[in-house]
Order: sequence, then C-alpha cells, then structure tokens
Amino acid sequence: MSTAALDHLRRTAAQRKLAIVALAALPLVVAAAVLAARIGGSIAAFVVVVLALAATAAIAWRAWCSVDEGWLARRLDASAVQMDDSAALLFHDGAALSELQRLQQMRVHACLAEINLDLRPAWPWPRLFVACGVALVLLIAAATWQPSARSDTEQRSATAHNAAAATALVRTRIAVEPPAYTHVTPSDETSLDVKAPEGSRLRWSLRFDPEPQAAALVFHDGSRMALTRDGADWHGERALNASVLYRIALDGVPPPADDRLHRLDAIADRAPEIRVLEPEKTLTVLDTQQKNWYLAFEADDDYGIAAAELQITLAQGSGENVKFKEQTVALEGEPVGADGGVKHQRYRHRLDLAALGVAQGDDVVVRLAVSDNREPKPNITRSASFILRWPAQASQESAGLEGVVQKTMPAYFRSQRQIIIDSEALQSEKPKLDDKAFLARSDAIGVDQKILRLRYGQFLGEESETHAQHAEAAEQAADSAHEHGGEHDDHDEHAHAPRAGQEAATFGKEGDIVAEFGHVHDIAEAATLLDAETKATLKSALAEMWQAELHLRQGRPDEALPYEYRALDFIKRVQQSTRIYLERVGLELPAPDEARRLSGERKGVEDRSGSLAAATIDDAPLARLWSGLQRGDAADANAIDWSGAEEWLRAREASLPDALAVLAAIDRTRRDPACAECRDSLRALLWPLLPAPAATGAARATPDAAGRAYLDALQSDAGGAR
Amino acid sequence: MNTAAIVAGVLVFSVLLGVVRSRHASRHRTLRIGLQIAAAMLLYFSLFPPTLPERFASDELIVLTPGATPAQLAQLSPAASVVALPGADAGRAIERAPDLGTALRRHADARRLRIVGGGLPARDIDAARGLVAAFDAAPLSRGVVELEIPGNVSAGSVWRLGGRVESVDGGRVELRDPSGAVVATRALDAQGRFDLRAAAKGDGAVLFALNVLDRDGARIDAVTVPLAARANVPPRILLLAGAPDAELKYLRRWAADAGLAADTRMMLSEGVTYSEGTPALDGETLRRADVAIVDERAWAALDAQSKKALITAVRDGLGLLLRVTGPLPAAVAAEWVELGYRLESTEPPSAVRIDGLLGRDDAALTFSRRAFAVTSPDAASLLRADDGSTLAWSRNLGSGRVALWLLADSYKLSLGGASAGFGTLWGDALAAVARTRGAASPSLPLTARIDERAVLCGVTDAAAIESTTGAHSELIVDATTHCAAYWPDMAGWHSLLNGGMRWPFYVRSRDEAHALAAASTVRATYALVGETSSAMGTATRDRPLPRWPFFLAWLAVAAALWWLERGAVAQS
Repeated sequence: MSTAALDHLRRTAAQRKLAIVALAALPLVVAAAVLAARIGGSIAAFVVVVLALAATAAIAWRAWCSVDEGWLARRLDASAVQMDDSAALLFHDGAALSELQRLQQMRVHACLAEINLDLRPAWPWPRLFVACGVALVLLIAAATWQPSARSDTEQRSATAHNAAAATALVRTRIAVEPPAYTHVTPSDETSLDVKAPEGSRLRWSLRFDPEPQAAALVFHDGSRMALTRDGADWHGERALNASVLYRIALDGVPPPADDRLHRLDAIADRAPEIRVLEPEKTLTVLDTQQKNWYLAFEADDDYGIAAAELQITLAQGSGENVKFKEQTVALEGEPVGADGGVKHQRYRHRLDLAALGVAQGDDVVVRLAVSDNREPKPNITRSASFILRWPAQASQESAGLEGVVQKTMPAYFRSQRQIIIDSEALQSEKPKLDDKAFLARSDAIGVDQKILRLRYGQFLGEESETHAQHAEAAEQAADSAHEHGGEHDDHDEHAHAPRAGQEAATFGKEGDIVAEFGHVHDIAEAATLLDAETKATLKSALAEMWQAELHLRQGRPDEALPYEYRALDFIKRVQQSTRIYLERVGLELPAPDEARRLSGERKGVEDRSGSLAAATIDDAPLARLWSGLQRGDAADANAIDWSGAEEWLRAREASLPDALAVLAAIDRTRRDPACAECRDSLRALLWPLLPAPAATGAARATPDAAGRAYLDALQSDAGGAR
Repeated sequence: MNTAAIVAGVLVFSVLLGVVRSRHASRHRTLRIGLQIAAAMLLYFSLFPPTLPERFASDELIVLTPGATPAQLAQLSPAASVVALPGADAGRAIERAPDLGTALRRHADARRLRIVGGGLPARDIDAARGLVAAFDAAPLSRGVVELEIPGNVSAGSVWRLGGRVESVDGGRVELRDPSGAVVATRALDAQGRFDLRAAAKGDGAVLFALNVLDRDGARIDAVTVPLAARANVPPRILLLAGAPDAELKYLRRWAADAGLAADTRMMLSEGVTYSEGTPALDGETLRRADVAIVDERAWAALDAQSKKALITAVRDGLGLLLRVTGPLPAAVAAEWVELGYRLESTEPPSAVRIDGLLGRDDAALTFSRRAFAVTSPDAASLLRADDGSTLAWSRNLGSGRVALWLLADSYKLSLGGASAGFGTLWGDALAAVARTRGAASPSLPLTARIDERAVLCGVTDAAAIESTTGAHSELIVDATTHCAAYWPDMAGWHSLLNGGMRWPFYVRSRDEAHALAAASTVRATYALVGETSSAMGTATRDRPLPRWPFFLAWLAVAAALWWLERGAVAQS
C-alpha cells in the first residue's frame, strides 16, 4: 500500500513539473513563431515552431526523468520531519537490510501512511512572468517589422539604405468616392496613382514614419492642399475634376522614398451613343398606303441614360412658303442587357401620320436626343435627322438646273407677250373705239414696245438711246407738236422717254443690275456680255421691234402683230441661248498677249518694298529641352531650361494628347539627372511634340587647293576642246 | 628496315608456313592455299593501304571561315590544302590556324586563296589582299542584310532609308520614330529591297527602329537606325522674277522660314517692281549672294551690263538657277545657249510625279513640267521625276554652277501638306547649285560596331572622340590621308569633336543587327576577289586508299579459311 502511495506522490510531482515547463514554453513558442512568420514567411514559422517544440520536449523529458527515487527521498526527508531522514529506506528491499534498518523502514512506512504529503513543486510564478515578458518583447519586434522589405534582398538593402534619408509611407489609402449618379461603388486604393471617374471625391489617408510637422499635396498646376492630422493619420480630400499630377510635400522630415509625381486620372463621362435601327436610310419616301412611321433607336452610355426625346419637325409647303411645326415627344426606353437597362436602352416610337397632319408635299423630320445622367450638366447626344417625304406633285420646273443656271433677263419676255396680247385685244376692240382713242392706245402699246426695245438695246451697247432723257429739254417743242397730231412719230418717242425711265425703276430690275454691272459701254461689237450668236439674234429681235413699234405708232396694231410675233420668237431664242452655265471647277487662263501686256495706265503706281517675316515657332522651349537632353552626361543638367518647357506644356495641356505624362517625365528626369532611362523615356515622349524646322540643304564644301587645281584643269580642258 | 618490310616478311613467312601445312590436305587444297595468300595480302593492305596519285592545285589554299556549312565542307576536294580559321565549324582532320597570316606562313607555297563560308573577318582582310581567287559564300542569314543610312541629314528634311532583306518573302518593313510610332512602312519587293522616307526634326541625334515583319506580321529582325540631323547654314539667295506667281509665293515663304536671307526683285508691271532686301546687280550684292534665281522674264528685262556682271559672278562661284515660267523669247533662248542649255519648245506639258523622290506613295499629286526639250551635253541631272524624266539640270561654269529648272508647280507640295518635301526639294537643289561654303564635313563611320575598328576621315589634327560617358580620347591622325581610327568599347552615340564642331556617330552593340554584320563581311570578302598574281599550278600527290574495304575483305577471307580449316580438323 505504501508503494502505491509513493508512486502517486512521484506521479503528481512529475506532472506538475511538466505543467510548469509547458506553461513557460507556450508564450515563447507562439511569439517566436509570429516573429518568424513576419520576417521569413510561413515556412520559417513552421521551422521555428518545430525546433521550439523539440527543445520544449527535451526539457520536459529531463524534468520527467529528474523525478526519481533519490529526488522523492530527498523531498520526503525535507518535507516531513517524521521521516527521520530515512526516506531512502523506503526504496530498499527489506531482505538486504540490517535489522536496525528494517525496523526503521517499518517506522517510516507507518509514518508515511499517517501523514498526508504534497510533494508537487510550487508554481514558479516569477519565472513564468519572465517567460511571458520575453514573449511579449518578441511579439512587439514582430509588429514593428517593416512589411515592405519582404523577401527581395535587393529591395531590402535599398530600403535600409534609403531609410536613413527618406520618410517611409507606412500606410497609403485613398478612398475613391465616385459621383452618386455613376453608381460606381466606392473603393479604397493603396497606390498613390489613381484612376477614377470625373467628379469623384478622393480622400487621402496617409501615415508617415517619422512623423512630419506638416504635410501637404502639391499639384502640378500650382495648387496645394494641406493634409490635416488625426492621430497618426494625415487626411486630405479633393474632388477630381481633371487629370492632375501631385506630390507629397512634408515639413520637418526628409521627402518620401518614392518622390516622383503621382498621377490622378479623371475618366471623363462619355456622351451617350445612339444607333438607329429604323429607318435604315436618312430619307424615306412615303408609301401612299402608309399610315404610320415606325422608328427604333438604341442608346448606350457608360454610366446611365437619363432621358430621351424625339424632336419631330413637320415642314409644309414648298419654295419660299414653307411652314414648320415642331413638337417634342419624351420616349420611354425598354431596357436591354443584364444591367437592368440603365446603360443600354432601346426606344421604339410609332408616328401617326394622320394625327400629325402630314399632307402631300410635306416632310417629317425626326431626330432623337439622348441625355445621360451626368451631373451637374448632362451630356446630350443627338442623332442624325431622318426625313420622311411625301413627294409633291411633279413640278413644272426643270429639276437639277437650279443653282447652275442664272436667268439674266427675267422680266422682259413676258412683256413682249403682253404687247402681243394688248395688240390683239386692241384689234378686237377696234370697232367699238373711235379713231382717236384707238390711235392713242395703239401709240401707248408702241411706247411699251419702245421701252422694251431700249432695254434689249442696252445689251447690245446702244446706250445713246437709253440716255434719251438728256435731250428732254431740247425736245420740249416737239412735245407740244405732238398734241397737234400723230405725224411726228419720231419725236413722240422722246415725249415718253421720262416715263420709260420711271418705269425702269420698277420694271425689270434684274435687267438693271445686269446692265449696270455687266456690259461694256462701248461699241456693240465689243460688248462682252453676250456671245456673237446671241447678239445677232437679239439684233434681229430689235429690228422686228422697230417695225412693230412703227406700225403701232401709226395706229395699225394688226400690221404690227407679225413683227411682234417674230420679235417674241427671237427673244425666246435669246432666252434659251442666254442661260449662262457657270463652270464649277477649273480655270484655263489664256496665254498673255505680249503685244498688249503692260500697256495700261500706270500713273501713280510706284515701286514697293517689303519683307517676309519668318514664321514664329512657339515650340522653342521644347526644342531647347530636347537639345539639352542630347548630351548624355548629367553635369549640364543645370543648363537645361526645365521650367520653360514645363510652362509651355502647362499652357497647352488641353490641346496636347498627354501633356501630363511629359510633365511627369520632365519632373522625374529633373530630379534624377543621372538616370539614363528617365532621359530616354522623356525624349521619346518629347519627340512627337517637337517642331520640324524648314529644311535647308547642306552646302557644298569649298574645294581645297588640289580640288581647285583639278577643277581648273577640267575647265581649261573643256575650253580647249571647244 | 621499316615497319612495312618487317610486316611483309612476317606475312610471307606465315603464308609459307600455311602452304606447307596445307600441302597434304585432302580437300580444297588449292583453295586453302589461295585463300591464305589472299588473306595475307589483304591484311597487309589494310595495314598499309595502297596509294593513288591525284592531281591538285598545288598553290591553292582553301580557307574555311566562320559560317561554312556542312554542305560546303562536303564539296571540298580531299587532296586540297585546307585550313580552318577560328570559328569555322570544320572536322577534326582539318588543319586549324589562328589567323590567315599564320596559315599563309605555314603554307608558304600558297599563291591563291579560296575562301569558303561567311567571309574573312576584318582581321584577315589585309593578309588576304591580292590573293583571293574565289569566294564560296555561305547563304546569308535571314533579316536586314543591306542598309543605307544617310550620313548627313539636314534638319527638317525628308531622308531616305534603303536596304535589302534576305529571305523574307512577302514581308514588309516598318520604320518607327523615337517615340515608337510607325512613320513609314513598305512591302518588300521581289529581291527583298525596300525604300523608306521619313522626315527629320531639329538638330540632334536620334534612334529610329526598323522592324522586318513577315507575311503574318511576326517580327523577323530589328535594326536600330541612327540618325544625326544637322542644321545647315542656309545660303543667301538673290531672287529676280518677271512676275509674282504661286511658285514664288511658296518659295519665298519657305526661304523666310528656313532662314535664307533673300534679296528679291519681282516686276509687277513695266517699270514697277516689288523688292525685298537690296536686290541690286552690283558687284557687292553678287559677291554676297550664294545663289541667284532668275526666270526668263526677269532675264529678258536685264540689261547687257547686268547680265555680264551676273555671268562673271557665276564664273567666280555664284550659283545661278534659271527658272522657266512660260514661252521662252528667242533672245533669251539664244543667251541661255551661251550658258549651256539649248531649249526647244515641244508638246504641251505632261504630268509628272515626284512622290517616289519624297516618299509620298499615297499623295497622288501630279506636277507639270515646262514643255521644253533641253540639250545640254555636259549638264548633270539635278532633279528627276518618278518616270525618269529630268526636271532640272546643273552644270559647272567657271567656279560656279548654272542650273535649269523646269518643274512648274512645286508649290503643290506645300499646299498638299508636304512642306518638309518642298523644303527638301528646294533646299537640296539650291545647296547643289549655290556657292561653295565652309569646309568639307568629315566622313564618319556609319557601320561602327563595338570592338571593331572604326575609321574617320577628313579630320583635323586636334580631333577627339567623346564617348557615351563623356570621356574624351584624342585621335592620332594620319597626316597624308587625314584619317584616323577609333576602337569603340562602348555602344551608343559617340561624337567626333572636329574643328569646334560636334559630329555624332553611332556605335552598335556586338549582338545587334547580326544579319547586317554577317552580310557586310560577305561583301568585304567579295571585294577582295580578283586577279591573283599566279596562274593556277597543278601537282600530283599520292593519296592512300581507304582501309576499311581491305579489312572487310580480309575478314571474309579469314572466315572462309576458318570454315575450311574447321572441316579439315573434324575430318582428321
């Protein structure tokens, strides 16, 4: 029984020792594992854990083994006085002992059964606390380890090198909040270069090590945004309205390690795109049975379509008399695609032609305007105009010639016809009229005939007759003579000349214009307005008019009629031949007549002198930067005019394809003049922007003495041969 | 007593022994004796094969160079003397030589060289001079094998890049500018030739890239095209015109933009002129001007004294460009005959195209040429149309030059947006005619490559090279040829500093444009092929027959003997 009690004592003591070892080892193993994982990754952590567990197991094994009979005997002797320092006897075989020893053994056995002993070692709390403290130190070390210096040894050494001179950006977070209308989910960026929809709000949240006194974002357009401090974080907020470059500026600490210009790209909201499904052609001709016009459109946008409206224009009438009626119909779209139709919609519309009031000869013009949901100002796209035409009755006008045909004498032709009509009417009324009235009316028709003749005469240069008014005063006597009778017909025409002049103001004005600007005031043969054939025809017409006028003035309209008809016929021919076809292209100038050349009046024309100014090239700063970059060595980087080029680029940011990239490359090269790769990339970006100077050829070199002698010999040989 | 005799003795003895032993054989006695004799003879011949006399070119040395193909090696005559230079992939039996000079010392009787393979490297060129009788070139590698890069490009002008691509059927080439944009592309013709044009920008050195693409658009080869553009000193022109016209308008605009100082006198009417600068025909103006541009109407209006002054000035070096703008008066034509040009009016002008000259394939611009037949025996063509007809001539007159210009409407280039082409056309023409100015530009190494000797000529004594890193190295200039050599150890842009001016040239890296380098070696070797000093001498040389047939025959005979002997033993 006492052996069982001894075993129990030994087991509990050993278990306590194991528990102590485990308790001390646990935090150390965990802390070592965390530190290893932080520095070397999961594999390192695994190795460390295995090694630590092996060490712990070895220590535990030693602790277990140390609890042996000797240890138990020493502990029994130490903890119980009743043992009389004889606990070792408990473990000896009674047979081998002396009598006295056996007696003492029995006493100790009895004593052991009586007392209730606890031989387990006490918990070593201070030591456990020390172990926990060491573990805590390891965990802190793990937490402060720089995550940026992972694995890549080169980068780690570089970081170690820079760490002394540069401020580390411990945390980078840019919260991008796109405008609500885009329905783009806000995101967090961990890079300083951000692409976001135009109008997004960007919130920077940065943490630096060491802590700066002040921090700001400096933008390439010169604006500056101070960051506010909130604990360890620095915050700033800005709306992204245009693409921009920026840099972090810190006070009191060295600049950040990555000190190049960072880029914020604003992705512009595209205007909607419209595709027309129906009608297929811009111009549709109405079918007579057609009652409706079906229209179908599709629209796409990058963020969403807000509204669509159909603009309908009804054009009624023809020629000068066209009336327009406009109306606008808002269309409801049917969604297309998986996104619920926000970005892609289809529109269908049926135009009821009867309700619209379309009649023959009318045009219906439709046009779709789609706006997107951009704020504050939506993008609006308008489709092409589509026309539905109900063709008018076939027109009398010869189509296709308008525009190229100019009618030079519009008013007169009807006038000759009018004279004929008047003459015929007068002839038919002759029985009812008395002779005097008949003669007066015939004479009036004759006057009209004369006006007409004078008008045509203008085209042939017979201006003496058109200026008959000049002789008005001189003809006053003849005027009075007219009242006595009709014999002096020759004079009579002058009496009516003023009237003719007055009429000219209203009658046949188009002819006035031609007469005023068109013809040459000299002899008929030199009148250049009309070609020879037309002039001949016109002359014949004038001759007929003379005859007609003669008979009309004599009160014989019936005799005048054949001449009038012939005149009309000639005029018709003139009308047809005087259509002037204007050539659209090409000009063949005749060879100059050297005999006549430069024979004009040159009085008051003097020599002139002047000078051409060379085109100003405003790209000079870029050209200077380019040539400055040619030299490979960094020494003359100071001589390069960086600011001039930057100003030039900033002034033309809107017109250049990617000025920001050039500006960023300039900044990079400027800060690190030794970087050959930066120079090369900057030169590649600059190349398309460089001006191309006007080319000149390379001059021939002056020949040296030998060349000169050779040339002279050649010349003298050639001279001799000749 | 040599080995052969001892072996022969042993064999004879063995045969005798065998004959004695076989003498009493019951069967096949004669056959066994005969076979034993045959076996002995065959064994002897397989050890000491008989030789045949063979004729060979005694004074010819075949030199295997790097790039020799197995097919070429197989064609070599076995009797010939063959050496292989370093890099040649030849069999072990062929003699190796570290360079051609060593090979020639070893083969002192060699008077003629036959080069096989990719050609002699630059190291051996001098040693081979005058000795190369034939060159059996290996096929060229795929890629750009010829490249004509202009050495002297004027800033802003249109420059030409020509060349040839080997074995890329149906491919095309594209030229990319320093920003990577394609500026010219062209399909290869049947021979693989191409001809690209691109516009240069301002003064400076840039790298274009030429890519060779095959039919499917895959890149076959890429070559860097170094281009150094220079801003030139523009000539001073004296412009006399009988009347203003469109051509003059754009010519004057170009001259003003390009910085050409122009003294202009245009007649507006009888006795009324428009002038710029001081266009007097006095000695001072004519000495100052570099080129005079005169049309036939202005010429007709000049008095005899002015004409004489002008022609005297031309004889003293002034350039004179005669423009024809219309019908030529007989008096003017007669005077121009004195200047070397006989013009006769011909049919109405035909349309000509000069797109090829300026690399404008898609422009479809047509120009007109004044309708004259020009007779001038000693005039050189100054400008040619695409169809080969001459549009302008130039001839020497004293120290100066007289040119005749029949292109009527080059201004269409400016109107068509090709102002670079217009500037190139007129700039080159005026530069060719104008008074000589300045010193000759040095000739730069256009194919310089790292670790290869680059030769620069026309340099002054104080010339130096500035390397990519900015380090200066003085050149040692040969006083008679004014040439110097440079051994670049770095790739990239180098500059020749000569007479206060900087002349950039590009050094290629070792592995760049491989096909081009190989092809230039081939060309350099072909250039060596020529008349050799000695006629071909022949001699005979004993060549041993191969051993293996004798050995096989001996084996067969020995096997037969073994069979016969075995039967004999079994019987006994």
